[in-house]
Amino acid sequence: MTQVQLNSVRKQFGDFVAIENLDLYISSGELVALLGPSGCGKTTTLRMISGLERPSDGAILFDGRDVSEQSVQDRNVGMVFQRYALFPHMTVEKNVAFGPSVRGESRTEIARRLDEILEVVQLTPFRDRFPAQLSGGQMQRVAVARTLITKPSVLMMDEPLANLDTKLRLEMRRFIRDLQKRFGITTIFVTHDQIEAMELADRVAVIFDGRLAQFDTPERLYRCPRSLDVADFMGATNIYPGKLLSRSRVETALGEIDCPHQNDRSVGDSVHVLLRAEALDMNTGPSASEPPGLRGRIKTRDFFGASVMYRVVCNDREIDVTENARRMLEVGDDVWLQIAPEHVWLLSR
Amino acid sequence: MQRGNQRGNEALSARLSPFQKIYLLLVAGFIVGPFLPVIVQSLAFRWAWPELLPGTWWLEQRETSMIPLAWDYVLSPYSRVWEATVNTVFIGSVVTVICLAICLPVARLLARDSFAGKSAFEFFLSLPLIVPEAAIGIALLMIFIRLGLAGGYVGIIVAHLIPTIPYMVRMLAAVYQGLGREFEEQAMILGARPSQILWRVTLPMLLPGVVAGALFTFLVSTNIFLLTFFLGQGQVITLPTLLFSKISGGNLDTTAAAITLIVTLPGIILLIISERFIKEEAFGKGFGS
Repeated sequence: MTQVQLNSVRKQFGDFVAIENLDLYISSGELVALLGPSGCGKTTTLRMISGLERPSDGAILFDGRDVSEQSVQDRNVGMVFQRYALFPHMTVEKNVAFGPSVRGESRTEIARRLDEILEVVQLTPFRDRFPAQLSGGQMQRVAVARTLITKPSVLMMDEPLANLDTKLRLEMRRFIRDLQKRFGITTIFVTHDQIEAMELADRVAVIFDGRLAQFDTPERLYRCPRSLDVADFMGATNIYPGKLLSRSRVETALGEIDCPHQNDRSVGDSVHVLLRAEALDMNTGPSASEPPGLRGRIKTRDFFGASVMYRVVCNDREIDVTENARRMLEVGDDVWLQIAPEHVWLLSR
Repeated sequence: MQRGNQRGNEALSARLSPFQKIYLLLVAGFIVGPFLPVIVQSLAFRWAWPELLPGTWWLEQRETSMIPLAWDYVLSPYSRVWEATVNTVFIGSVVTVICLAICLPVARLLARDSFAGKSAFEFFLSLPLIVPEAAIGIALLMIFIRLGLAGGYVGIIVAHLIPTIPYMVRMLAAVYQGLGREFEEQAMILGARPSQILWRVTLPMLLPGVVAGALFTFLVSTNIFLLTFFLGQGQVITLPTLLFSKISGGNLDTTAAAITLIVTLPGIILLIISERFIKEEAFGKGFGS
């Protein structure tokens, strides 16, 4: 159990600043994702925590102890690379035993830990196979086992689910979560896929251009992004400029919308209004008791099996609405959209 | 998986068009062709000019000599074939080891890092292959005579490094490019020290390339005539120089043919060994996924 802290860490390659003043506090036993588009510096951050890169400035602390100058070998961290980096010339058993073996553990100790860890990752029947004879999921489990056998204080993973197909992703997601809870190991992983980050992490650090944009739980990140960039990256599509008519009502090109009471904004402020596609209610007629809602017409329909996404044109603006697929509306149908004020999120403009 | 491959191969051969077969035969002819007259010659008793096949075969004269005359001579100490073979193998081995030691770090640099003048370096890497060997040989000879290196092993070995290094660097750089950094980084994270990484991860993973490069270097070295001839000054004989002294009369006699066959032996043995080695050690066990 190790708590990891980055104190105004900066990394520069020549003239290129990869990471600018990054502060991050990761509690012991937490599962954290570093999320951002490619080239944003998230992998560099991971490499600095592992010790493969030295920060140009700032400090990295494990349990309050500065490890910035410690070599990779002495830092006792674990890393699972995106393409697993299994040694192709070694069997599963040799791969997994590599760590303890180069650290000079005794044969009996290595054998004992090997049996134990292979059992945990359910690879005992495959111990004599070579990596090329394994499936993607099995290779990843070998990579995880090879790392866990060294009892690292921090486990790092580079795009852990990226190379797996949909079915395996679900399985590996559970596997990683279970393992992480079981060993209580502080885990940090890097991804450019917001779904992967939300699926796995306790908290997600969103990084843009070497700067930390937001560090929050997946739910907060999704519902309450702090900037337009974060909202956009988390997959928000319905973002409209607007102006506050009162502290709980905003005017947009779609029409007037009720929003949560804004304590720190004043009437007349310019804002961006974020409407989650799945939070919108779509009625086939005007609501009798309530205000009638925003009137629109369905322009396109995309069917995803469990859910359906409609694109509705409202006052010449397009708005996406996602529903679960219990009913199907037709393209060209007239609809009335409503959204509960608590699902409306405002961003400063 | 293997069975699938075999079935694939059968299907492939069934699908070959006559043209494809002709091309394959053509290449096979170029590969095997040169060996046929040499083998025939070494078994001849007399093979005069206009005859397509030897006029007298050794077999017809076996009362005169127990084994073919050519082979009788070659295997006798007078031919100096044994001495030349030992020299050839010794020089080839030393050249290969030195070449590897020089080229491994350079290949790593070329494959992984960028530095000022890298593209120029890569461009000029092939220069020794473009300049005629005779020119290099003469230039080196003049320098080496002054340095006292002419007529000895050291001079020949240094000279052999000139045409072999460009090939070796290129081959190793290609394998290094295929070997991502992450394997060595992974080993570091797992706690391996630099020497452990080299012996347990880097070298085994580079093995197919190292073997191929070493094989190639050895074969090139064992076949170099001109540089060996210039710098050996007749004091160090190798198989190519010995052979040349036999055929310099403009006539491939039976002993020359036998020596030719001897010259090919180290290469053939090495080819067989490395082929098995590369297949079983590396590719069979999961490279190339």
